[in-house]
Amino acid sequence: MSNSTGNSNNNNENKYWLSLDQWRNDPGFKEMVDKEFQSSPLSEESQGGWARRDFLKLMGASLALGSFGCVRRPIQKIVPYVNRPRDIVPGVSNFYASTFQNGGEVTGLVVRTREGRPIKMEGNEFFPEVGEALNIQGQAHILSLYDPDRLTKPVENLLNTERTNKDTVSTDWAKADKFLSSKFSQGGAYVLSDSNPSKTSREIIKSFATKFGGEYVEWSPNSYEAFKKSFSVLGASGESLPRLRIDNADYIFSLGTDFLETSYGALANSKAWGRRRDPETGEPVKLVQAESLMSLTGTNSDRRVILSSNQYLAFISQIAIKVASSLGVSTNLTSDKSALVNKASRQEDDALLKEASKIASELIKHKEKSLVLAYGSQVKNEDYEEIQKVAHFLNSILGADGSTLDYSQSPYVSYRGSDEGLEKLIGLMNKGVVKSLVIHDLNIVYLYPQREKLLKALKKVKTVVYTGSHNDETGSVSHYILPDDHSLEKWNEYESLKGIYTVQQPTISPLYDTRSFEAGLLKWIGSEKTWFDSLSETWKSRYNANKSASGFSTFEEFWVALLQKGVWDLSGFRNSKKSARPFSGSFKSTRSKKTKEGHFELSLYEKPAIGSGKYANVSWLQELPDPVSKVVWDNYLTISPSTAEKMHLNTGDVVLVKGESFKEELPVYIQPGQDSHTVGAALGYGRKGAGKVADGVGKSVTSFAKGFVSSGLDVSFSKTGKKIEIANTQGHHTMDGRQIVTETSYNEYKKDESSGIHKHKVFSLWSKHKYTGHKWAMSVDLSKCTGCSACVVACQSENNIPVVGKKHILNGREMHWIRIDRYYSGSPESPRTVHQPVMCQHCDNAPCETVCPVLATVHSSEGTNDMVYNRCVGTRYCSNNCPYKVRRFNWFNYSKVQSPLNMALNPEVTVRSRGVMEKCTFCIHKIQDGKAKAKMEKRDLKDGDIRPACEITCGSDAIVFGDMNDSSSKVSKKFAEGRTYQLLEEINVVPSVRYMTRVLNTEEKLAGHHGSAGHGEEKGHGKSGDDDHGHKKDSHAKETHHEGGAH
Amino acid sequence: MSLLEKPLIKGDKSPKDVTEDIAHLVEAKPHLKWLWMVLSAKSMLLFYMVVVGCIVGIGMGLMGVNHPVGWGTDIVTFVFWVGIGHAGTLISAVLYLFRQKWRTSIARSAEAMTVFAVMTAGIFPIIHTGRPWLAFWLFPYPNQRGPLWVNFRSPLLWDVFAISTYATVSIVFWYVGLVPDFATLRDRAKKDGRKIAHGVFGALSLGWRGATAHWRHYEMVYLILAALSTPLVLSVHSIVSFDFAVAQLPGWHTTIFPPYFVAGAIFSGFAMVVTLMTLIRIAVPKFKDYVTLDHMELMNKIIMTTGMLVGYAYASEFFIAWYSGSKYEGYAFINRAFGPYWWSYWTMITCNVVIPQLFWFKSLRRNIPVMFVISIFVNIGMWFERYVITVTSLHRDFLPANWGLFDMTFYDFGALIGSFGMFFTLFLMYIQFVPAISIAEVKPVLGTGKEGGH
Repeated sequence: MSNSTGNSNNNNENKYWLSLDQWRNDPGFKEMVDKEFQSSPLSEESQGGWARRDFLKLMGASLALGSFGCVRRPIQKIVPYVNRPRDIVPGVSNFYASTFQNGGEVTGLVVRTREGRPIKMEGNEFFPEVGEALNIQGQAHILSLYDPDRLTKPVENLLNTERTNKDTVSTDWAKADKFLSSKFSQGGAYVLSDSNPSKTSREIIKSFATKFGGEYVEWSPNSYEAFKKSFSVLGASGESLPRLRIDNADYIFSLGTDFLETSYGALANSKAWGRRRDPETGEPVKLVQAESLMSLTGTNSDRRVILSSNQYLAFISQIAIKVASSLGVSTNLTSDKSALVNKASRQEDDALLKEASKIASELIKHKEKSLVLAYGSQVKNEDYEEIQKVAHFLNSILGADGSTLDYSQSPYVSYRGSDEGLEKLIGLMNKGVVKSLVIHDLNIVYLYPQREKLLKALKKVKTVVYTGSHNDETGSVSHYILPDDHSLEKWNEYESLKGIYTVQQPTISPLYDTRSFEAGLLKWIGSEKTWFDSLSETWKSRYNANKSASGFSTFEEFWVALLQKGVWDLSGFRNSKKSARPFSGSFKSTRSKKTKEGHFELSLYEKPAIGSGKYANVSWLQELPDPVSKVVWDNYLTISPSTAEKMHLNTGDVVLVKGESFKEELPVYIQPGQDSHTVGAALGYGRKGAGKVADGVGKSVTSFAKGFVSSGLDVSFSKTGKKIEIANTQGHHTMDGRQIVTETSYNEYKKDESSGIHKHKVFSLWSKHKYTGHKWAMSVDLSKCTGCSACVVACQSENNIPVVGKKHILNGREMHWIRIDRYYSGSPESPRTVHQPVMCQHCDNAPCETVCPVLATVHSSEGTNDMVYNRCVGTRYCSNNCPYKVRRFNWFNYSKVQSPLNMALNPEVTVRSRGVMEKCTFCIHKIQDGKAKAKMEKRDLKDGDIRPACEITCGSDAIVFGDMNDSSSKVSKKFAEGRTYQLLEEINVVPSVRYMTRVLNTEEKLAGHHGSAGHGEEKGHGKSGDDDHGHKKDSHAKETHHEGGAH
Repeated sequence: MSLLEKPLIKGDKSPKDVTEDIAHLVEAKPHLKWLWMVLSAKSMLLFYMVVVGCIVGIGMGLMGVNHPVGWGTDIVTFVFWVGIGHAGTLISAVLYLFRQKWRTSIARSAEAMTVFAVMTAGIFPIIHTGRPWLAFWLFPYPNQRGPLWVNFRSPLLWDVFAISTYATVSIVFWYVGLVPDFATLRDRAKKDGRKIAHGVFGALSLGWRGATAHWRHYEMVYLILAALSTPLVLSVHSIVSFDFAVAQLPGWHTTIFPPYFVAGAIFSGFAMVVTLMTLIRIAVPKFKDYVTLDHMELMNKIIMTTGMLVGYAYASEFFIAWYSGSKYEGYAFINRAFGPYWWSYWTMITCNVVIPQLFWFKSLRRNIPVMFVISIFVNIGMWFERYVITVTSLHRDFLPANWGLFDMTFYDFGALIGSFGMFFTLFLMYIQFVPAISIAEVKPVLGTGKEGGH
């Protein structure tokens, strides 16, 4: 039509004309034609009133409104760019290299932005060791930017004489600066911040402190200070945290160290773990974990030793003595064997002693290829220093130091907090030396264990300034809260591992009236420089010092390249071996502490999602099932099944926990595989003023800690008679003899690659689907998967998955498209644990497709099972017929979120309305994007062009996605491996997701359960830890024991 | 047939008495007792509307359904009401074809019950969907969405056809049977000079004059409709059972479902007829002459028979679950009887298999209070049967990590109880405004059992 309506100026172009008016190009005619044919929704009627079709539309709309009384699609105006910003193409993502920094943990980031707003985080492929992997908090960090409870401008708290908050009033920067400058000029201005790996920032802070007669103290709840200091026994001082070289290790003995999840460097460790747990490439690294709580690393171990916190020292000493005597090393080390007694029988625990000898001989067997780790949070008991000494001794005499442990080439320098420094600062505060205190990026009041002591000291400080984003625990005792920019709004630079520098780029201009902390400092010290100038200087000096290494002739070129890459790796060759440092310390003869009769040892731990509580207001994290307990929205006291039985406790029973100087009521959770004398509680909960999500969730247990000792704490507890419901996404914990996760040992695997898998004879009356183009498929290697759950958050971020809250989780209405099923086998006291990520299996014979009455879920020509949201009427038949139960239903209008949280939504993925079914799409938008890109570049799709969010973020490379019709693709190769099996093969739905048998490096025979002998009975199944009746999730496993029938 | 020896209608009535008895009820002012009953049923209906309004307006999530139990009481109650609707067609069509004359007294009410039960049932699949305002997408109507059509492979679609066909045929059948009676009422209204009634019944009677040709056509239509709807008795609930049987879920995926569901439906349908007839006999004592103890006894016999059929199905399911060797199937049935929902299973067994056995005793099956209580138990049992099938199969299927529990919420109870409000409101309206016993059909059987009969 456009040609004939005369939009061209030259009437000669009109081959055919309607009338002479048109031939003349008469404007009146043009208008007439436009009116006649352009009654599209875009047309604007000049004379007002309603167009014919508009009238029909309005009538229909009012009818719909009148009939149902609910607005389905509110009218929203879309305003196009008048002048398009140069870098923004609407509908096309921009990627920025940046950095995620959290209390010393530094990871490379690539931030995806759409129309100027960050929507997704991924790891940076150039970041050494870690690559594109990203942990849970890194993924969730994006939501903290859009936190609706963030402070939007500086505020002043009108503190009363008791220094509690009377009222909060808003202020402005000029007023605050004026007031504070006068205060700072009185001297004694101190700065306290979280571990700060930014050299430029530290320098500015230091010059501020120097100018105003104060000091700068860094502290972080995970400072590892004692660990760093303990290296003095190896003749080292000023040590950084060593880097683990799991690639070089064949045997790891870990004493209470969660090195795969919550300890420093977990992501890099996890990557190496993934590489070393691939039986196709050789014998998997063997992990023996000795611990009292069930940590994620513990669930991944080949053998797990359960002991109480206060047995750690005696146990590791016992091992060290055995190793030393075998290697002919003399030592004054003694082991308090009486600590290794079985507390029930009061006799030396044969099992633990035998275990110690076994570990010792295994360590010797793997000399120079072994690794002893003992720095984890569970070990932070009163013997911490001695335990470190023994561990260093072991690593030294076994030759692990320098071989499997990198202490010099590229250790972690980003963890800088100092407990001693903080204690000194508190001392100065009490003395009145500290006149004003600037607290930066650290919620010290919440995190510091002795809160009363700190609050008392803070009262003596005349002016307290806080740069946090909320009026939280620390904020409410501060005079001024001057909110710092969010790290996605701000420039910065960090050094993570020694010699590895990263840049933090702002990806959005500050959403609110916030100011970067460093800019404020520069202003206060009267510097003319901007924060960015200072950063440039740092980079310039770095560039000038390493000009030849950079490969660029000018700084400008280098700078552009740096911004593109995000990382500058100057660490050089990181994997050369060094000789072990000689051990030069001597051991104290310590007697292990004994808990009183009826008392327990409390171990405080951090959950992978909530961590220290900094991101507690991020709902994704609150609703992420704990990788081990699968509990959401709560912390609790973990107790062993036998303790529960003895004390007649059930999950959800509230007990009063009494420590030496602190007590708190906590619900109990029965955790299989936990030591019966130990109880555990997660930090990071019980926040106040942190925001609507975090406030009132769980209890703060920080104050149970004794100084910086957070494990082996003497507590007792008693029933209160109260009961609360603990929301759990998985209530049944055993596989009930079904072939769900197959396991085998490496020995069995070597004999038969398919060992552990019981193959079913299946046949179909129907012909198979033919996939002539692509056939998308995914392989999940259960040998590699650690269960860390980062993929769950990545998926949530990528696919706009809503959060539903505790109440709905109790009702079984979680929305995650990918979930990690966790099963126990063996006895509840000491179970073996497996993790299995389950997402839509995209079955070839998908049961969901046939039963949908409206064809809302259909099979694509590329093997994916596509969900058509706008066609779905919500019969939920598909979910019922799904054997994997991976479909999620929008019971309410979950997608309606508080502004500005909606800015985190990914525009490439439909936001689902109420009453619609949803599920994993294999990131179909990425598939389409990848295909389009390849087409634009006029090339074929390459393997690896398309990677779903879960695959990218996976810390151990357990997930591989690709085209099964491409025989050279990684996924095709994985599918050809003997370890690959189909989940629920016998119902012949032919899933496109295949799992790979978990291979453990153990002497135990594991393949027998489903092996050639058919379905055997799983030993002791059906009774591990299914006592939790406190929630609505099904948990009545005790009566579910049954014989597996023959197939 | 021993029944032939007994009179079907008591009280030695003349055809005029019959007309008088039945028509009087429609013509007279409503009884106070009726008014109270209607008011209470209406209150329940209003409550129902509020509950349904909330579910539609706020979200399906108000009900107890969750993940993995995607179908809850909506489906349970739907199947329950559809099942209730079975006895109507069975009595009016199948018994008609088999020339069972005793059906005449109860056929009308049974048919009405069918229509109302299907109407009540029809609401549930709609409120059960996530987006009820789009439920019409389940109909294959020509649309502007390109080649988009419904999925003919989905049992839910078969369900749509089965239920809508059944509803249509039941309504037509019921209405055709009513035509001669409407004509009677019209004539009586004219005689009494009641203009509005004359107009309304005149329109409803479609110009019926009682001519021989009319009667011939009527009989033929009735016969054809009976023949048409007989297969529906089997098909409707067979197809409803396909919703479950076609799925691959252990506990649903069984071939016994179609006959088992049909037997269950007849079972519950007859139980509901007994309940309603007992109530009618109480509300309208005159009807005791028409709906006699013999009628009730016959229905009780059918209840006992179908109850045993259902019991056989329960046993057979267990046997097959064991015999098949499928561990999922085996587990599903063990879980049914001994899992967390054991109480629902044993409620079902007690109500459906054990309690109807009391009807072996003649004194009990002719005892009105006893049969009333038993019929209610049967209906409770049949509701639980669907509950057991739906909930216990879904809550624990293949992967134990998914297992979960289902709890009914206020809205589940509200919709269940409220639906009775809707049903009873409709039924009470029917009793008042429509001849509750077929005048035309009762008259020919007046002679049955009389000495020297025709």
